[in-house]
Amino acid sequence: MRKFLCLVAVVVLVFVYLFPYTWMVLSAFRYPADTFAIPPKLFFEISFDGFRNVFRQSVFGLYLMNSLIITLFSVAITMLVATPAAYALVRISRGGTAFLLTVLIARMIPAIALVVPIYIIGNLTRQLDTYQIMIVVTVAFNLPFAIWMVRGFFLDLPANLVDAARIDGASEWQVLTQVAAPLARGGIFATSVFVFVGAWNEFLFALILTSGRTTTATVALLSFRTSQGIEWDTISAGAFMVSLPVIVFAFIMQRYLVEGLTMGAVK
Amino acid sequence: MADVQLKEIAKSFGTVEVIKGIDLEIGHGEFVVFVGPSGCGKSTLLRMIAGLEDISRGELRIDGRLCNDIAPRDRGIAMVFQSYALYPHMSVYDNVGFSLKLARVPREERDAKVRDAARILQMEHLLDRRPAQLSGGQRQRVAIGRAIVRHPKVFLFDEPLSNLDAALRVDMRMEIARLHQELGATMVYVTHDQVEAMTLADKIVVLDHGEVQQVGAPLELYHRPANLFVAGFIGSPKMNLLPVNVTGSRGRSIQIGSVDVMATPFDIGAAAAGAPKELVLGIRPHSLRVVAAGAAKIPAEVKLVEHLGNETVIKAQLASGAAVLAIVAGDAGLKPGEKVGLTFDRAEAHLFDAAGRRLLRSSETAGGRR
Amino acid sequence: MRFRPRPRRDSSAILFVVPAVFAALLVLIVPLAMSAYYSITGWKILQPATRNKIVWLDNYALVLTDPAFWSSIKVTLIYTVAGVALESLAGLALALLFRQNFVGRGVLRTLMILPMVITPAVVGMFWKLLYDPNYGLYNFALTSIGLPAVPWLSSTWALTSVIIMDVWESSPFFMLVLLAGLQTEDKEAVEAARIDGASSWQVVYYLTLPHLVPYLAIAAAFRAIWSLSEFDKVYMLTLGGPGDATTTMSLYAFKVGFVGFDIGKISAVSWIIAVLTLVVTAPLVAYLLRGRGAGSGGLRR
Repeated sequence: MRKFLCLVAVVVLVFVYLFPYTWMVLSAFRYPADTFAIPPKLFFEISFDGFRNVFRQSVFGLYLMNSLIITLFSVAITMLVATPAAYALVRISRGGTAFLLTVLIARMIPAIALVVPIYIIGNLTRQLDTYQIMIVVTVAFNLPFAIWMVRGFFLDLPANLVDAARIDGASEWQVLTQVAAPLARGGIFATSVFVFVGAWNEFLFALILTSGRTTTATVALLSFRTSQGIEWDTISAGAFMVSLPVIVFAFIMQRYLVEGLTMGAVK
Repeated sequence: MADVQLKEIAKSFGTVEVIKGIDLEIGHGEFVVFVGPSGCGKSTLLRMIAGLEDISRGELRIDGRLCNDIAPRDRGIAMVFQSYALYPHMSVYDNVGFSLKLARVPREERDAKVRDAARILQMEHLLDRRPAQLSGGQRQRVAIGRAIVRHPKVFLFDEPLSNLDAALRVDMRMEIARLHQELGATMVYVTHDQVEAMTLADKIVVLDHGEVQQVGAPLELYHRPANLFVAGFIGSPKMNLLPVNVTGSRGRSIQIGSVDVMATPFDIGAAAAGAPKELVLGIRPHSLRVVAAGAAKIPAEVKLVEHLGNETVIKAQLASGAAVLAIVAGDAGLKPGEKVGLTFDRAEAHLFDAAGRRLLRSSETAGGRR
Repeated sequence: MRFRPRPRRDSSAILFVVPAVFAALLVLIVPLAMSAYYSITGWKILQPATRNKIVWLDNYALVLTDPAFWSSIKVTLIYTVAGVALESLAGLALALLFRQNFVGRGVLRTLMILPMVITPAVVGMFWKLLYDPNYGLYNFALTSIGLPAVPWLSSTWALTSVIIMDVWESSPFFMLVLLAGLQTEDKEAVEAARIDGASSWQVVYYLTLPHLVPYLAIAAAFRAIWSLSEFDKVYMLTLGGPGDATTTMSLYAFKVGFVGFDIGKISAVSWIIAVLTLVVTAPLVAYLLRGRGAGSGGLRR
């Protein structure tokens, strides 16, 4: 009985807690008039006008595609760079910690402090509004976290496995590719999900470094924000589409998500 | 097969020296056991031989070749770890064959070698399994198989049986002894368990605080411990140690005695002349005999009697309050509170000086001493 | 058995960090060096002639005497401190609740942490809708139960509204970290306390809370680091307004650089912000790394 009450309490709590977001999702699928009907309508007519407007008012399809391209390339490159680096940091104790410290401190410098010179570099090299600059910046900004997290998973592996592999004749690269990385693949996968979320959610750099051609969906939301009149359905539909991938990911990756979110903090 | 030579081998972490200049010769086909309490440096020393730890100073030669800066894989060694260190993502077959795969041994040859190792260890039926599906003993077999398949010149074992339960430990101990006979390979084995050391070793190296305390055959260590540390470490239960005074000396003999021990002459040869005033008398529990009170060198009161069936463990208190253990065969029929006398054969008793070194009897050569 | 340096010859692994170091140089060191230089120039994009005009510390003086800059520091600190404090409390309550065993805990917990994965820009976006004075859900709800509407995004309320939004987004993070902490609680000590006659609340107060303190500190440290550079949500919700009411340090820098196109000044702002952030967060990072630096096991022994 106590458990049942507890369950009811938690279900109610979660429902209330998520209501702000749920409200937005609902708004995306109904006519604005229904959103503010008094008394609130439990059953309403489903409308896709919002989604239609999103794609009519801007090339939102392109923006979503830009987000996807930048995100996928960033995830792949970040993991390819972070995994060996994390391995090396675990294996080379001296200086490794110092490097990690530097990397983490770098991560603490607010992005805004770097964005202007990066903008200027992009301007000088004529790389503004390209996939390349967005990918390079996204990779660099997600690297410290990815290294930190993968390192945590490597630290969980028994040290003797590496000793055994080295005695079996493996070079460091072979230890990494044939023993350490396969064993930590769950963690590496989890980390890449996090990098995915981070890259997909990125806003500031895209806001400043892109203009039209490679604008990402997060930044494209701004155009709805500033549009006059309250087009609840349109705004909500756009925001819903931007947030959908990370939410889907969150559900697929439940187990890893919890592990990863707490990892950096607790491990 | 190969010999291993350690010359002035030392290791330090920063300013802390954990291995302090060790000289050791390990012969062809010899089974050498490093034994000592935890933190004595035995595992570090083994890992230095393996190449998993830097050698700060000194020379390591395997088969005559200087190995200080040779990678582990090129030293011709194989190692079995306490935690087994099996690759959890590979089958038993792949675990055993991993080193051969890395060495690019052709598939057929690799297969033959893996199956050969599996046959020797009677684990052919396990080849398709994952380590997680194996019992502790089976995992240890796989770990040994992984070592065998490389046909190493030297096998290194780092406390390989510590994670097994008592019964399995006895089985695997015999298995390792059998392997040593069958393969005739040089083996270096680290353990903190003196029973393993006594039963397996051709030669035991007792280590403490990064230094060799004594090197010798198991029985030599038992009967002629070089110092207090070895005397206390080898043999179970521990040797009884009683402080005594030198009350007189005559020729090659000294007389010792204390509140606990009645005056007893000891023949310690030439050392008698300069013998220090205070010594420690060491007698193993098995060397003490219980006799009627009054008739013996050591008067005592029985405090505790443990009947083990084949033998009886007696804890007794001496005049000074010091406690000693005596083990006598069969059922001694003693009760706590009973006054008894303890006696011992002088040939089985040892004297140690203030530095802990054992005084040699005149019958001994300088052999058992380092 | 820990902290065993590897033999020198195995340092080939050090090559593995080269790409990461290269990336850090490219996107961190070079920009920082450049902005260090620009910060002593009077470069304004709209006046190309000013490009290499050295003005030394004028930009710094300009920023440090700018009331808007100090206002942004104040806003950032209030936002960070209030947010972290409220999130600690909310996260603790949530963690104690989610510690209970009930059907569907996994799914409910995942639902609960959605706020922290949802794109921050989207969060800012729909909270703007929710806060809308006339059509927003909150005022709609308040007025329908007979309460007066609240001007959520007015200069008196805007910062509070921003903090509420952040608490909503980040409390689940505290919950997660604390849940992880709860998993390491010594169950036997709790049982012993119960046998000694402690009530549930006494167990929480005397055993659970002290056990959670380090976890709480870690979560707070992480959250503080992120809060100090807050941009996305606030940009979407208020653009830093009204006036400077919700202008955080990052938004201040943004306004200086991309509204005024004053490269010299924004470079100075960048450096001031970077240094300020480091001064505040370096002790936090040192705390986070304590006990982790040497590695308690794993591949490194």
